[in-house]
Order: sequence, then C-alpha cells, then structure tokens
Amino acid sequence: MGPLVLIVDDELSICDNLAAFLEDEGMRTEVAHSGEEAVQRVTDGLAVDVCVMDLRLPGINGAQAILEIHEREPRARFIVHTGSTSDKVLAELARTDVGRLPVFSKPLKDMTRISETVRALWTAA
Amino acid sequence: MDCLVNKSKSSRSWTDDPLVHSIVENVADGVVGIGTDGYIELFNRVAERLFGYQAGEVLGRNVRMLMPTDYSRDHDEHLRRYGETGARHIIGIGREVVGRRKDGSTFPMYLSVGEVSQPGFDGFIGIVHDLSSQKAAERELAEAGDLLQSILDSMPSTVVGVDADGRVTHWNRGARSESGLDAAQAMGRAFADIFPFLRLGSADIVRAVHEGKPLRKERVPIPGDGGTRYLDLMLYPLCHPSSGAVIRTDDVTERVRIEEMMVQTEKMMSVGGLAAGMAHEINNPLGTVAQGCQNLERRLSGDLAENLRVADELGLDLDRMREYLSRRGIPRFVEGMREATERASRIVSDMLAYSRRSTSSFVPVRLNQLIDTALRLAGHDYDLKKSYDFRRIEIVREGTDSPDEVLCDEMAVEQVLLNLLRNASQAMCTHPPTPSARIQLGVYDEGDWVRLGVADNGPGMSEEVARRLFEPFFTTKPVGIGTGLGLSVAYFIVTEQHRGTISVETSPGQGTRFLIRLPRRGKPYGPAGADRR
Repeated sequence: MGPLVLIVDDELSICDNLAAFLEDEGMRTEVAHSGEEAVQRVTDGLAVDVCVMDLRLPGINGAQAILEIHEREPRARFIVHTGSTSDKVLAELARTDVGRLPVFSKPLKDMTRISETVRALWTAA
Repeated sequence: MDCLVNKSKSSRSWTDDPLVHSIVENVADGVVGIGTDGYIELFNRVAERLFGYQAGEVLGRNVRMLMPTDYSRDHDEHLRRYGETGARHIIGIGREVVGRRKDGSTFPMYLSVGEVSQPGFDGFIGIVHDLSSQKAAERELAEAGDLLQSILDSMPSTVVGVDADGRVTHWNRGARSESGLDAAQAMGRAFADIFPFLRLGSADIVRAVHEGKPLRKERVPIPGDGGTRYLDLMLYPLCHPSSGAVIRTDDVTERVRIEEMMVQTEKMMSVGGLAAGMAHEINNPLGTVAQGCQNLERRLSGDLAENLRVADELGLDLDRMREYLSRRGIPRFVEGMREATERASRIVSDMLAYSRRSTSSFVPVRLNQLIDTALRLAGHDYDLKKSYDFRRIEIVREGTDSPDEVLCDEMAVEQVLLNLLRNASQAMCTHPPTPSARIQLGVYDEGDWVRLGVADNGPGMSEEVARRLFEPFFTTKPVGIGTGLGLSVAYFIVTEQHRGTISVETSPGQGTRFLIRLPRRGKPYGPAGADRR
C-alpha cells in the first residue's frame, strides 16, 4: 500500500488533479481546502505520511498549518506547492525544526516530479 | 595775442596780420606751428586747452613735449629726413596720432600738417582735431556690440537675428556649431537656406515679422548619424515693427529622451507592481489546466493499471477508443492547451522578474566571464534551438580583456545578455535568414563605467520599432515566441536596478547594436529597495 497523502489547497480543481494523479501512482489521498481543515483532520487522527501544502490560503496560511500539523504528527513530511513568489515564508519555516522543504511552483507541468518526491520522502521515513 | 607767437625769433611775422591772427585764434581746432628744427613757434587757444599748456610754456621748446614717448623718440629724425629727402610721412596728408597733455595723460587726435614757408616763419603748421569724444563713442558702440555678441554667445541656444526678409543679421556661437558656418559666412544669407531641416521657410519668417506674431515649433526631429535629435524653435518678431526677428532653437533631445524614459519606467513600474499580485491568481488556474492536461493524457492514452481495469469493467476496447480520439483530434487539443499554459506561465514569470529584482545582491563580476556563461547558456537554450541553431552564428569577441571587476547582480546581467543573444539569433532567423550571421560582443573600459556592446548583422529594425523596443508587451515575434517582456526587463535591470543605461543603434538592413553602460561600483537599487534616490 502506498503513502497517505493529504493535499491542502483552496483551489478545488488543483486538489482534484493532484489527487487523481497520485492515486494513479498507487497512493491514497485526502484533500482539505483550508489550513484549519487540514489541522483538524490530523487532530482527528488522520495518519498523514506526506502533506502537499499550498501557502496562500484563507484563514491560517500554509506555513502555520505545517507547523501545527508537525506538532500533532511529527512523522508527517511536507511538500510545498505554491503559486506565490515570496520565499520569505519558506525562509522562516526553514529556521524551525520542520527545516527546508521541497517546493513546487504552480503551474506544475509534470506532476511526476511531485509524486516522486512524495515517494522518496515516504520511503526515507 | 602775445601768447600766440614766439616773438623772440622774429621781429615781423606773417602772423602779425590781424586777419591771419584772428583765423588762427578762432578756429575750432588746435593750431601748432613749429620751425624746421621742431621748436614750437605758434600755439593757439584751442591748443592750450587741448594740451593744458599756456602758450608761454611751450613756445620755443621742442614739439616732442606734446607727444607720448613712442612718438616723440623719432620726431627729430623724421624732420631731419624730410629736410634731406623730402620724403613725406604726414605732411599734406594727416593722420590719427596721440597727443600728450601737460599732466602726462594722452588723447587721440587727428593731426593734419602743412608746410609753411613765409617771411618770418619757415616750418610746419599742424591742425589738431581732438578725437576723444568720437573715440569714446566708437568704443562705446564697439563695447555695446561686444556685449550683445557676448550675451548671445553665452546662451547655449542657437540665436540668430534676421531682417524682415529672413536674412541673417546676427549669429551666435550656438548658430555656428549648429550650422558649421561662422558669422562671416552666414551674414546676409537666408535663414531658411542655412537651416533647411528646421522647415522654417523665408515666407514663414516674413509673415511672422509682418504680423508681429511669435512663432513656435516644438520637437522638430533632426535625423543624424548619432540618432534623431529634437529641437524646439522660437521666432520672436523684434519690437521695432518690420525690422526683423530673432530666432532661437534649443536642443531638447535629452528632455525628450528623459520624458520617453519616464513614461517607459512608469509603465514598467505598474507592470512590476501588478505582477506580484497577479502571479498567484494566475498561477493557480494555470496549474489546474496544466495538471488537468497531464491527467487527461495519462488516463486517455497511458497504460495505467487503473485505465485497463476500468476499461475492462466497462467492456471498452481502449485501442478503438484511442483510434476515435485520435481521429477526432482530441490529443491535439490537449497538447494545444498545455502549450498555451506554458506560454501564459512564461509571461507571468517574466513579469515577476520585475518584482524579484528588487532584492538582489551585487557581487564583483568579470563581464567577460559573464559573457562566456551567457554564450554557453544561449547554446543550450531550448527557444534558440527551436528558432535558430545558435551554433551556426559566428561569435566575435571584441573590446578589452580587462581583468577589472564590476559590481553588479550577476544573474540579472546574465539574464539581460541572454535576452539580447536570444533576440539577435531570432532576428537573424527570420525569413530570409541572415547569411553568415554574426554576433559581436565586447567589453570596453570607460573609467568609472564599463560599456558592454552586443551587435548583430541581422535585419535591423525601423525607427518605430526601435522606439517602442523597451515597452512592456511590445513584441515583433510571432505569437507564442516572445512575451514582449524580455527587453523591458533588461531595461529595468540596467537602468533601475544598476542605474546604468541601455540604448540601441539600428536601422533596417543595418543590423542592431545594443550598448549597455554599467557603473563600475554599482549599488543595488530597485523599486522596493531601501536605497532609493
């Protein structure tokens, strides 16, 4: 059985497409449309292996959501998938014990790269 | 009357004649008589006033006392020579000389000398006409003229006075450098003939003078080797009616350029400001389309286990379905969508170059090494391969191989160079392709500045295109090839971020040369940077 991937994006069709692709790669996927929802799902016991997180979200931003999920589920690994350009948030994240995260910029031409990274992170963990 | 003549010399003289006496005493000019030996024998009242001597003080003394040293030195010699040879220097002719007063001061005078040989007087009579006030007036006039000329010359403008027919009457230094003619060559010629490029005909001038109305022409373009210059022209009829006009032209090229540049910069600033905000909003939907395309392709044509399972479940022959899709052109549509997404994403990332550039770091860079890198990148560039085989372009390196380093944002300048190389090679592949295509690159030392030249022998461009070259979203490339942002980003990087200059020299069929000047010790400066002017 493949890794459980939580996809967090307020853009529904981004979630759909990413989930479809990763499922085709034999992974299990869950989606959340806000940081709060993602944190709640993990709090409720979702055993996330890898979380693909958008940065710009309504409510708490992706970086904050990552920190909160990390607190609840230290086993979880993170991938950033963002359309924004500021790397200030990422630089701040890198200073926490979450560390430096793999980043994929939207639009992502080839999702193979993201699925390979998910698999690599999962295998390493 | 006793003061008039040196009585000691003669007992009876022609000057005793009351008429002669009266004439000599009452003429308006000074009269001085000397003997052949040069000693004064006659000195009238006006002479007394002019020289400040009483007759009694000069009679019987050498006339040299009335001359400044440089005249008096040779006077005896002149007299002696005249006595021997009869060679006339002044006698019967008269000329302008300088007189010396009793107080040692001098004054200009016109001296006419006549020879007199009468019983009781053998010598010369000099008529002294004071030129002081005339000379002063002349000097004043000349000074006024000099002052006027100096006023005209000190102005950086071209200032030309013309008469009512439009013919040159005054000519200043600016006019000389504008026309290449000096005042002597220009005087009297028609203004319209000297400056045909100003398109101000003699008829225009005559009419303006006649109507007493000023005339103004702004930004008259003057084509030249170094690019087009612009002149503002003003014609003011003189206050005195129908006496002519003064025409002034000013070179406003710099101002026109700066204004154009400001418009340009403003446009780009707005693009930069928009870009950051827009990027996120555009990238998300673009992501959906790009990822949707990939999923479509994989699920329609890929051999995924899930594809086979679902098809099997439905009893669907995948090969027949793909045959159908192919015959209906579906994969082509999907491919088109994907390419469009890539294009849009390229535009967004080019626009982002504006906002990203503000946080750059300057490091010492050897421009020649930077050129090497850019050339290497250009050789691998996908776009370049698509449009032109970069390796078939001859690369010529010029300029100095200066080891000096320039403080700049290495990545940014590299981006500028790559952009120029890409444009040059794309231009040279347009139909018909440039035979023996060549790009010349050079670094030139200019003291505190470094000049970087990138020149190609491609098709060049029209003035219209060259003028809009740095404008955001202006492109001459086919749809999908250029975003119209490459050169405006280059412009932004050079002028805003590096406080340098970038310019282009080109004309149709003559190739294109870009010149970039960078300050050697540049400091980062961007729209969002702390270091604002």
